[in-house]
Amino acid sequence: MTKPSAPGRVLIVDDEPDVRLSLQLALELAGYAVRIAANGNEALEQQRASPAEVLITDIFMPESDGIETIASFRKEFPATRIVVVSGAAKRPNADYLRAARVLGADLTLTKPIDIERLLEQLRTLPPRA
Amino acid sequence: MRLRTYLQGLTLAAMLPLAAFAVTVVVLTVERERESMSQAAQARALTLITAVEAEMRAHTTTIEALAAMPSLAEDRFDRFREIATAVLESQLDWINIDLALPDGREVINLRLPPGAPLAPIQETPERLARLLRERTSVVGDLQMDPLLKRWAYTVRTPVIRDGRVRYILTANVSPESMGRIIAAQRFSPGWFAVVLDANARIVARNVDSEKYLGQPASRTLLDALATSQSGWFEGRTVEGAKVYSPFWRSARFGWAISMGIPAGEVTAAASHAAWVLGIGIFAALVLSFLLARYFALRISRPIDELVAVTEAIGKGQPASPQRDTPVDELRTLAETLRTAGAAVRERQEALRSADRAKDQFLAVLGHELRNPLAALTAAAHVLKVAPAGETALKARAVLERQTRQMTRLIEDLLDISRISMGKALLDKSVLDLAKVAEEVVSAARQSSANPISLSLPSSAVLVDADRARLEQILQNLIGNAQKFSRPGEPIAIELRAERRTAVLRVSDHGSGIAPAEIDRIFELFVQGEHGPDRVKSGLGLGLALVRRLVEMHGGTVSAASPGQGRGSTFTVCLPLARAAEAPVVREESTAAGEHRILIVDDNADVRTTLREMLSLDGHEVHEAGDGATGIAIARAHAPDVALIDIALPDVDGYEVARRLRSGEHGMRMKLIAVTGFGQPEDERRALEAGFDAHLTKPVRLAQLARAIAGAP
Repeated sequence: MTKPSAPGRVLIVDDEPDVRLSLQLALELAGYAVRIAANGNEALEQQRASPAEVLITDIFMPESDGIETIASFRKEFPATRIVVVSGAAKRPNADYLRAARVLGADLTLTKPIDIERLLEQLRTLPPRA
Repeated sequence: MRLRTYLQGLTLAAMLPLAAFAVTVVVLTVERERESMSQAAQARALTLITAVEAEMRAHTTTIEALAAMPSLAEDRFDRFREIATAVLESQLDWINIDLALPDGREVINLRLPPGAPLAPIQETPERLARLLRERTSVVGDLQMDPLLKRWAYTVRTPVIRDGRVRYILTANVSPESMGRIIAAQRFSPGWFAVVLDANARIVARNVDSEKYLGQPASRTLLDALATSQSGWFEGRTVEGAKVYSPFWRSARFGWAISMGIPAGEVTAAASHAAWVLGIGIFAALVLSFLLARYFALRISRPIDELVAVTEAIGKGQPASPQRDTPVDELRTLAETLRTAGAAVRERQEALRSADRAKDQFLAVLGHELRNPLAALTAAAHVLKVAPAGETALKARAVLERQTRQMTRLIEDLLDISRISMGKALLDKSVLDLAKVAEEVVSAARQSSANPISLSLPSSAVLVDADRARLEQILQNLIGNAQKFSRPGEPIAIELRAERRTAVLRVSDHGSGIAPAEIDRIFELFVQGEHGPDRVKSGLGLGLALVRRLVEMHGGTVSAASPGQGRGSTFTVCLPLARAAEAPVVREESTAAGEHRILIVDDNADVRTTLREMLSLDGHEVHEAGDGATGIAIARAHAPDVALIDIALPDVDGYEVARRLRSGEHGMRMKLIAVTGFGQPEDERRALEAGFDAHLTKPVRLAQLARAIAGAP
């Protein structure tokens, strides 16, 4: 198993265990160090304990919604790049995606995610100032 | 024509004869008024002529009495002159008395002294001849007395001696006597009255008497007198005033009187009556028209409104009449329309609500399908990159779980659509609900984050039901409880047999149900209230499915919750199977020509079609959805014919045939393959497996009957 030259740390937040597990497996295979969280609060705790460079979060989660998570991360961890994944392309989620971009998401995607494309995008994601 | 116009026309039509009658009454009244006026006037004319005649009679009587004086008979003229002078003085209007011989020569003239030269009397020869011949008094015409220079008329009488007319005695009378008679009648101002002599010259008049004295009467009066002795005419006075005139001529003296009543006065009386009636009728017409209009509007306005409302309802707009009406039929109609309007409104509301639920459903459906797809895509990627090892194992597990979940989701969707379209059929048999519950719960416990307790009665709870559907009901209720509970919160399931009902209760301590939601949660696509931070997966299909399935089994399902956050309880009631419905092995043979037939097919629709066809022919039919069940039923019921599908979910039809053949009644049974495989090779395989016949779907009734008829 060949690891890419610039492996990073990724934090995945999704309330659906299989969704975060499958994504974790895929990213780990690509050489990333992956941590997972079931909701936004958990994610914040994880991040404080061991900060990741990239946050991949679902827009709908229990405890606190994705929008709130994005806002919290932007405030507390301005350098973390944020990828938002939404369950549906249709309204009202489309508006949430827009809100997520406004709040500082670097990338917004719709489920199901094309993993190879995601890996490519993660590699080329520009660093935040 | 508009209803309002029509109703008003109706009123006018009803009033028209009345109006015509009223006009006739007016005309008749005017006519009668005029008639009575004329009669009254003529009565006064008669009074006047009678007074004139009486006056003349008084003069003639006086002169006749003087003519009878003895002094005159004895020709003692001095004595006569004395007496005559006394009489002249006693008579107010007499201005002279004279005595003449029958040939007209005057003998005495009281206004001249005795011996003075005398002129002969002036009288028309006709009147003089009459006086001499008939020996009667005559009244002469108005003349200017040549001696006294005054207007006067003569009253002459013959003086008879020894049977001969010796003299003619004459009194000259002033016309003032007639003037007084007219004055005594007290005519109303504006009225005219006139006395005419035999020559139709004016003797006296109530107006301008001096001016017209001795003048001829007016043209119109002369015309009237020329044609009749008395009567009534419309004409003009000498002054030219327009009058209605009664007139009367004295037969005895030839004099006449006439009156003039101003035309205005006569018509005024008549037209007054006409006006009163006319205005009354007009007012009545206007009033009844207004009343008709008022009542017409009270009918037509509500009708107009009803028309508008009907049109609106016809276009599917919710509308209801507001206006009240006194007409019972209209009120009933309005009530009906109000109900219809409410129904339209309700339907629209229901449609809107269904629409909202559907929109919500589509949004959730997208989410629900995308989540498993996300996991599947990522897992597939993992397997591609790392086909073996521990990671691959995990990915495979994800694949399995997610495909299972997706399958269940899609099955639910298809189920709902089948049930909605009435296509789902129950494969019922008598079974123990306790056993079903036990199995479902033990399966559910394996993957549950919540402890599930199960409380069962000591004896079996028999229901006549479709096993797979019962499992589905229970799985959905448990799934629902798990979905709305936090990990670790217990779920309790309790089954009880009441008198005729099996009662199954699933209770949780989860988020509960808001009171407003309780009635709606069994509706399709409806999910419990959830905040933005708590999105529950699912399409809102589970409970809708539960309700429909329970209802298909003749049962009921209800939900109860003490409130949000305080858990909820779902209760399913199903009718208990009666003991007679318990499966018993029937050994008795069926009637001649009828068979006990087993259908083994996994397609419920095919089973139903075949069952219906066979039942029509009087056969006893049993069904099985898979091979194992088919074999079990064959053992229990010992059918003489089995119709077996080849593509079955567990074992294939060939295997079923082989097992049946090796069974207890196997060799007596007629086995018919009913399949979608129609190749000669397929038929050969069927016969090898022990089938007696091979039929290709779709099967025709005659074909089937022929195949069965050959059964042992």
